[in-house]
Amino acid sequence: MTDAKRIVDIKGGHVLEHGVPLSRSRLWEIQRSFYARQGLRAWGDGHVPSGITSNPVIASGYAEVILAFLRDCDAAGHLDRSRPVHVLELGSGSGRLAFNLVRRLRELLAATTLRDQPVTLVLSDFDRAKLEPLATHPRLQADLDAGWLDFAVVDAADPGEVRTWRRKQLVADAPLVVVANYVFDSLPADLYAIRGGTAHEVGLTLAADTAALEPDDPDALSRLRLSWDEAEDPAPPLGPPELDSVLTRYAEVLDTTMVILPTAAIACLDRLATAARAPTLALVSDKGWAHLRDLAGLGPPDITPHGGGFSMMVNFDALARVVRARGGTVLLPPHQPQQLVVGAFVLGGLDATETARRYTDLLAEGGPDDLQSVHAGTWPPKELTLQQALSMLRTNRWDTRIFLELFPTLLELAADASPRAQTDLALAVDRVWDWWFPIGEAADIELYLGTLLSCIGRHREALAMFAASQERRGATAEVLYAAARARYALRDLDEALKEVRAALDLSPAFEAARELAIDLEAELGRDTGGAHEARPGGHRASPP
Amino acid sequence: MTTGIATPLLDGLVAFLRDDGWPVHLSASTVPTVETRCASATAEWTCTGRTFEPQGQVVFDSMVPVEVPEAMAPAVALLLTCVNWGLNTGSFALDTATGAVRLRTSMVVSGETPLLVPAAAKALVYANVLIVDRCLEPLREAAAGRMPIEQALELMDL
Repeated sequence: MTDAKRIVDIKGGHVLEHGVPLSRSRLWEIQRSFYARQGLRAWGDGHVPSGITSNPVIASGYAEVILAFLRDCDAAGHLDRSRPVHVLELGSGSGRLAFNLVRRLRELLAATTLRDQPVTLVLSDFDRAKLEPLATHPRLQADLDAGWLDFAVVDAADPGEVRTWRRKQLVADAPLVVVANYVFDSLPADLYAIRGGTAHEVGLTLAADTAALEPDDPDALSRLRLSWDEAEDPAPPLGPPELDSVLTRYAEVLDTTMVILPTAAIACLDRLATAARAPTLALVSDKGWAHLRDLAGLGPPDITPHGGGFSMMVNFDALARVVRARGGTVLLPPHQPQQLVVGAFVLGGLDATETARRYTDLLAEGGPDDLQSVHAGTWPPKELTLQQALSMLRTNRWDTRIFLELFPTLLELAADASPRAQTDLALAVDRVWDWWFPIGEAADIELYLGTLLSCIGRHREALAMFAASQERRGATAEVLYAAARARYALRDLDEALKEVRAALDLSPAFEAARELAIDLEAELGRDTGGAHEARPGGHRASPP
Repeated sequence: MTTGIATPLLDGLVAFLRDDGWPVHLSASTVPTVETRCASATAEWTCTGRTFEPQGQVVFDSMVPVEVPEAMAPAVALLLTCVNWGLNTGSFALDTATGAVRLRTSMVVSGETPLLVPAAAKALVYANVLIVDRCLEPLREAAAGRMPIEQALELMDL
């Protein structure tokens, strides 16, 4: 007879796989299936975290570093004005980062001597169906038509030849920028235990109450029980000598710990840089460990679930060691970031002086991670003036999420603000609207923006916002009521009455709308059997 | 089996054990018999499945890895009697001649052509080995005279 059946397996249910190297685990089938199922709404409703990695702040920082990289490439004679430089975004998700990035990049390039260098940002995913909604997204159309944006199917776990859909361009033979935000934390990786100077491979055992793994089941991950087994023998060679060197180094200097090696991420960068046959800049943002010192004393990885998929910490130190071993430049923050490690890796033997300078200025310190940490530590603020609230918006580059958090404050302060402050608020509304990229979130941004405009007496501009809301989301009682109030203020009483009645049709119990209808009917002299005198102060804007 | 006689119950038990990752050894015996092994965190033991095909009976025994010295036999017999009182299924037995302890779970499958479906086999086998796993350490301590049977019973928490 062979080994005995273990009680621990019986108690753990059905063993779906036993002691499998992490990168070959069926866990990744669940991961892939999860991302294949997600539409745009997964990002809008927060199932997949993306705010910090797609907001205008990080996009602006990236754009500056990309521009610096292009300058470095130009100085080294790598740019050919007849060939586009591609910025390949892996796992484009909602498309929000691409929207923000291309806008900023376009502005920056236009102000430099590189303005005639064609640049195309390529949104990609392993599943073409995920990109289709972005291809028709209204906010992307102008940049798509102008050639600033394109699409490609790219499996980051196994990238092959990359060719864009629209212009049929091969992403090769030119400097390349790879953007990977919250991508490498979802790619297959391997786990090793360091014990007394030796590295041992760690296998994963998956058990469940049912005999079959159903990757398409949204609850598949929550049904699994994970356990880790360390091999007794030293780990065999990994293949790439640079990776073996990383593991050897870890075994030398780390006493007792477990380390993740981002094997698929390293292979991905390798292949893309090889195809480029030119300097390649990779901008990578993830939760992770930036330095060797962060890797001491770690246990098994925390598989962080989010809505059916999961993520793991990324070992930036391992990425860095491989890139350095291949003659590249590594740019990482000198400290351990709290929320997000933003790293830049330059492959291809380029003097990346300018790139490094802009990275240090914009991403390493005082960048997206620091801004997020400050926000988390100081929110909600005790009391803000309108100008302070507007400063927060500017600092966050008109990020919609920040606007939504500030909205109650803005609304409270708007009506009584000075004319100059109200002008600044109107400008802020314009900027937020301009930088907003809808991804199916629940909040009706146009309604919020329009309400602020109404509050400072800009009723016609408010009506345009309310019309935009109805065009995008259809009529709701709230937006019809808000529009009716704006028309009431403009003394367009007939239209106001029509709209407030439409609001009541949708929501008969809408008390504020009923009161407005009664006032309007009274003013118009239409007795509905319950006429009231119009309130002296009229109907001021109120929260949606 | 080498007898050439149909043994659907044994076949069902063997199929379950194989599919569930148990080691399987078919032994030559007058009664259709399969042997397997189970391991807890601290011990490993042999299990034997036997089927009495005409009667539709399936019997699964764990040979509990404990040795009961002769002097401790009365105390352990009392302990096992109390344990059996608390069990919903199965029962322990002590061979006073050898000091061996066995846990048996069994079932009867009715019908003209009785079949042992995997779910039934699983219930029979898992109930058996999980009871052994739960009772083993206190039983060992009591058999060695290191623990009063009252404390052993309390630890088994039946």
